Amino acid sequence: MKLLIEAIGFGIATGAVIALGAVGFSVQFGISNVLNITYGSMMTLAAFVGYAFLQLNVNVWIVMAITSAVIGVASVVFNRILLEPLKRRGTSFVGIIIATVSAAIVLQYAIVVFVGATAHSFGEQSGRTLTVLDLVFTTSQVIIICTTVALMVGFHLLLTRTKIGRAMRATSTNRTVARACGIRTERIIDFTWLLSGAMCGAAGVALAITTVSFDFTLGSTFLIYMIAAAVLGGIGQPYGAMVGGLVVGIASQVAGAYWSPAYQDVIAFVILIIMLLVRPRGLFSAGAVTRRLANT
Amino acid sequence: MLTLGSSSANGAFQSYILGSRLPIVVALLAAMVVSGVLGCVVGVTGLKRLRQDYQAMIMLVVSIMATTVIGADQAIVNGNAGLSLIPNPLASLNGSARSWGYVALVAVVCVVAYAFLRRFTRGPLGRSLRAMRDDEDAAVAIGKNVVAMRLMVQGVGGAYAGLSGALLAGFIGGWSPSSWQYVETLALLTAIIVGGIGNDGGVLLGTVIVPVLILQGVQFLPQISGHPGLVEDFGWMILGLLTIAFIFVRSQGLVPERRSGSRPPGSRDLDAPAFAPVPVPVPVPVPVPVPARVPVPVPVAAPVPARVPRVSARVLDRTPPVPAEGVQGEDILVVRDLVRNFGGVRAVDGATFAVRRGSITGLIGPNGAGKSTVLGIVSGFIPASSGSVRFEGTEVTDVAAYRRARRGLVRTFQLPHEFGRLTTIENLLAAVPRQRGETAMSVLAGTRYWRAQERELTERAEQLLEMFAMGEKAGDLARELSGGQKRMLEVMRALMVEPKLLLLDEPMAGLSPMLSERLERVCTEMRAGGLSILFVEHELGAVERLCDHVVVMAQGKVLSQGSMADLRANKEVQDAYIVG
Amino acid sequence: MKARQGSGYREVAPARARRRRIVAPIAAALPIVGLGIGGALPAGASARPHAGGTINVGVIGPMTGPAAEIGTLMSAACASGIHVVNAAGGALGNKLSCDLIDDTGDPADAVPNVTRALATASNLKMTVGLESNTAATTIPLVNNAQIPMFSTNGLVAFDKTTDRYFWRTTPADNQNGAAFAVWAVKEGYKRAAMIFENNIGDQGNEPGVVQGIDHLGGKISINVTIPGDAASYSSVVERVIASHPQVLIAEADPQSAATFFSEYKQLNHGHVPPIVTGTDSLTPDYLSAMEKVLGKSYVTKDISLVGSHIDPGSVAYRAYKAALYASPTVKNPALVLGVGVISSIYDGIVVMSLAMDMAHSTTGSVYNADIEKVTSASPGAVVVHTYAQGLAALKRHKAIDYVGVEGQITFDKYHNSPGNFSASAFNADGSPRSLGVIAGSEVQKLLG
Repeated sequence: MKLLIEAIGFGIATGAVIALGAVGFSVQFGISNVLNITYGSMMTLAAFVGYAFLQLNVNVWIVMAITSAVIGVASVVFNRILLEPLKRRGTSFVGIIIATVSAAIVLQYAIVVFVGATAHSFGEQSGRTLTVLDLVFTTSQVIIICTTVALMVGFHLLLTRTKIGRAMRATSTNRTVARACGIRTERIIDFTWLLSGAMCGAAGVALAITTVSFDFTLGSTFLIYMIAAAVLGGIGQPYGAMVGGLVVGIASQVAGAYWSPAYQDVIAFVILIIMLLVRPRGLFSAGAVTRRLANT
Repeated sequence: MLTLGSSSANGAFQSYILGSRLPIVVALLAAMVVSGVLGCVVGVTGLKRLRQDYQAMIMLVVSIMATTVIGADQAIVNGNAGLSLIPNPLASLNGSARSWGYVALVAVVCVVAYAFLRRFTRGPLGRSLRAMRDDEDAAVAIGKNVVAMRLMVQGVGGAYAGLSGALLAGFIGGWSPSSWQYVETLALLTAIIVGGIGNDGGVLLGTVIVPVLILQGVQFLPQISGHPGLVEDFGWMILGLLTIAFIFVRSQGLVPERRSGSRPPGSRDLDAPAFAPVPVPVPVPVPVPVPARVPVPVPVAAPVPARVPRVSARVLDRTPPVPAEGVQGEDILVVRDLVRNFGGVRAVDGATFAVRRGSITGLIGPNGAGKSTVLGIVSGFIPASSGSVRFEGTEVTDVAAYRRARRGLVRTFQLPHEFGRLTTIENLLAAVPRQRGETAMSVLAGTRYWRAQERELTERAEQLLEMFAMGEKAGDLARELSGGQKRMLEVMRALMVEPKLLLLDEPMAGLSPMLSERLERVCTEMRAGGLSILFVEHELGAVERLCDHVVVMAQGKVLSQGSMADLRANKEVQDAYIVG
Repeated sequence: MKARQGSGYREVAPARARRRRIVAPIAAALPIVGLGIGGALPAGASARPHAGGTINVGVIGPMTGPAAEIGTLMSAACASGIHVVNAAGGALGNKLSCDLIDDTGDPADAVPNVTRALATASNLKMTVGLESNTAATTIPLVNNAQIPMFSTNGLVAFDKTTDRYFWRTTPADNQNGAAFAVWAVKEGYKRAAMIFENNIGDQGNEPGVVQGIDHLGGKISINVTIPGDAASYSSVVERVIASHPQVLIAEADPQSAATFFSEYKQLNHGHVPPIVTGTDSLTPDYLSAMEKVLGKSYVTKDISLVGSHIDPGSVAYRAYKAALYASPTVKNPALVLGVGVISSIYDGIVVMSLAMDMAHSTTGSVYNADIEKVTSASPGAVVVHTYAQGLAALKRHKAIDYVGVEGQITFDKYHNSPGNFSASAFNADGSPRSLGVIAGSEVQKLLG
């Protein structure tokens, strides 16, 4: 029993990191309708940007904030110079995916060329260990969990309660109509990429803190978990991505505790597949029906 | 349709397990079967009709999962360490004879596989698959079982992946699952993009160009001293940049998708914009010239038999047996107490009405009245929350949409759902149910099996095109048609399914006067031939001219019904719906 | 100076080599095309054979890709080998030249590349390299071409190979694993937890550890296989801690190891039991990753790295070292010396050259039989430690016994000579420090 509770605690800590990335990915995908594989390489970039700042003896949490801003801006630029022009040319959905995969590779190997293929390390940043009941957390895990929850709630409120959030949703549903309604869609899209890029940056640094040691494959390795979490939760749903991240995290840790750790990721994926068979649009799907209607 | 192939590793593994003691052909076939089945299993996860992007992500996740599972399993495939020393299938030969023997074997298998694939993709079956790829909803609407078709594609794709995996494992004598990295995906996707999506020849070309010229070519570049691997890193970056450039410049690939069918020379724009000041060239086959410049729709009276082209009779010949005069008045469709909730909203709130056989029934009402939803429920695209739909006396409320289409309950869409990358005539041919060329048998038996039927169908499609005065467009890609022509195509395609009851969703919207006049004429001719039509329309002029019976909906309920003249007099209808 | 074990130096460039595998369907097209154009194109960016009287030594290894560091080490070792042979007048009077054959570290790419090289390279009379990642696919090709090879791979499968042209002076992974067990028990630990990453190199050691601990009367408290590069191993770590091990026999790449042991430290109140691992981990990457997690004192005291034994005091070692420093193409001789197991390439070139001299032939199918003769401690054989000594003795028509960098070479009937083992620790500057020697016989005994 103790092991189970512990495993759930570990799962929450791991899940929070995955959720942090998944929320950004989910919102980015949901609003801009681009399946952006470059997101993974951006996380890697974030880890190395964070590493550079850390060498200047900046506090790791300040590093995270700075990196978020840097990656946020980088994401806006990326969208402006690559994806928007492609969209304007009417490039197909598959074409845009391939473009983002290509960009991911270019970025990943640019990182290799600059910093090499060797492992880098943030060093031990976990801080003191806290024990609540049987749940064990490190200080850094607590901070990451809080950050994730705060950003997720913030995102949700932004999307549902604010004017700009409504504009974002309108833009995602139909950009032309949104523009006709007086929404400055270019700005909304920029804003979306800025926010989701910032989440991506935060996730990259959080990953680097968690895994302690990382190299140029960091982002691509973990992107798949984030995609899984985002799909599980329902695309464009901040709460959904959070829950998805937790499911992936907890499932893998519980599997690691009771079964072969080699299978720990398999379990998370199996849950995803079952979930998709039952609720193909994810746990928190909204707008599914309206989309269906729009098609008919 | 984007189908990321299932893990070819499975095939390699099966080849190992089975192939170590069996002759090579058996091992390869076994690898194909196992991978094909696995492909189907993977396909099941995408069965629910999802957006393409969702499907792509699910495929991605599933393929990663397969790698993870295989990597974790140590009992059978030795985990990530993989298998080594897989016996070479041509172990009895030695030296270069073995290498060249294997090359010959691979070449033979490739040729056979390619020939098989051509049969699969070039015939009517391939046409239906491409139709499904272009527009799944429309494919359902013409009675295609997209679930079965998708499974078939997954199965065949899986089998091919298995075949390639088995050949590869046999050749290199070893195999291990490798984790997913962007580069691997990119090499494959780039090959497809460079070659041209949806074109087996192009993909073949891309497969040769990308890995051979770019990836292998990198090895011939001089190494930068002191930085081993740096050149290769640059190589990958260049590959990525080239791909992006390629997408910008030539997204259709080196070899664009082939368009089949001849493209007769002729004017590009058949239907000029509405109120065109210039006389529109009238297509030859239309026997009676239509005053194209008249800005107001011409009232059309009852069908004029003299103007019915011979062809329509033929088309009608093929519609199911027209009921005898006595049962002409029977209800072909009965909708009772239909309810549909979307969240808390009742889009349809207890609608009850009927369509008489051989009649044109109009369904009108203000925006948001629930007309399109009713049409969706009747055609099976939207499940009813409660209530019943009876078609020809049979309960069809829970029958799948494609089955309803096959029974003769065929719909069109409010927005054109053409199969964009098929030609106009292919759009029509794809719609014919129960084609010989669509069966698995056709792949095995080859062209001879379906050629005769195809010729017959082509003739029929051409006649239909003539009837709609679109004969010149037969060879054009559907996506290049004008909006009005796409609408006509939609109706023609529905007619090719041989419907008993045609559900038209605002067919007149956006049509030029000339085209809407033509459509009205066809509708009346079809009615004369025994076809029933349920007709959602905003353009009340057309409703008045065409419809025998009109149902008025408002706020999800049937407000009133009767002839248009009756309704005009109805105060309640006038209040709900400002009658024009 | 202690040696690294040679199952492909996988941690020099971690298991990522295999990740670059091009998707199978595409790769499947390669062999055909690769062979088709093979005749028309030069064999890679390799040194072309000189005019007459030059023998090419094929160095088959990853020259590009993320494992390219291995290729660099291999070519350095080759350079040192041909240096000593050429300095003494060459093999049977022929100058040697290193021909780099790139297998990219990926089996799918290795086959066409090696096939092409074998078909087109002229005077390719000996080969070295052939490490674990690609060994299973490349060794049969070379064997088919009847070219003797000294392989550094660690695959257990080659312990009992019947490939006539295959020779190996490094231990297979299971022997290596058994040596881990011997060392752990020698250090007085009876209760060991086993943590091995799920990859080709590390998994190979696992059965040897199990067998070894078992035979030595120790107890395995828990045996877990971990996936590489996970975000967190906390649950597994908790299970390992709960099994109360005295020692951790653990092999994983630096990134996974850092994550794992960081969590171990957090969850076990700052305490991590001593670690026994392979000399594959004797790399700056591993050291820096672990040092940031466990501290300098721990990494220099509590990590033992077990692998092939090399005696830095021997004559052969000094000759090898001198050759490395004397070869103009070797950029970082100190680094190459640190990776001890790579010296088997040097030894291999010397042995094959001596065998050519003895057989009076440079043809593989002829001199292959003499490889065993020049290394046998037969009665009356003159013990030699360098190529020059051996050549001189052969000219006097004496039987010779070449005792190389790795000590006495004793091939079994499967052409394996695993040699002795030793344990080392990290010095603060990352260089290895010897802890003790484990006799090869002791290890063989455990594996029965």
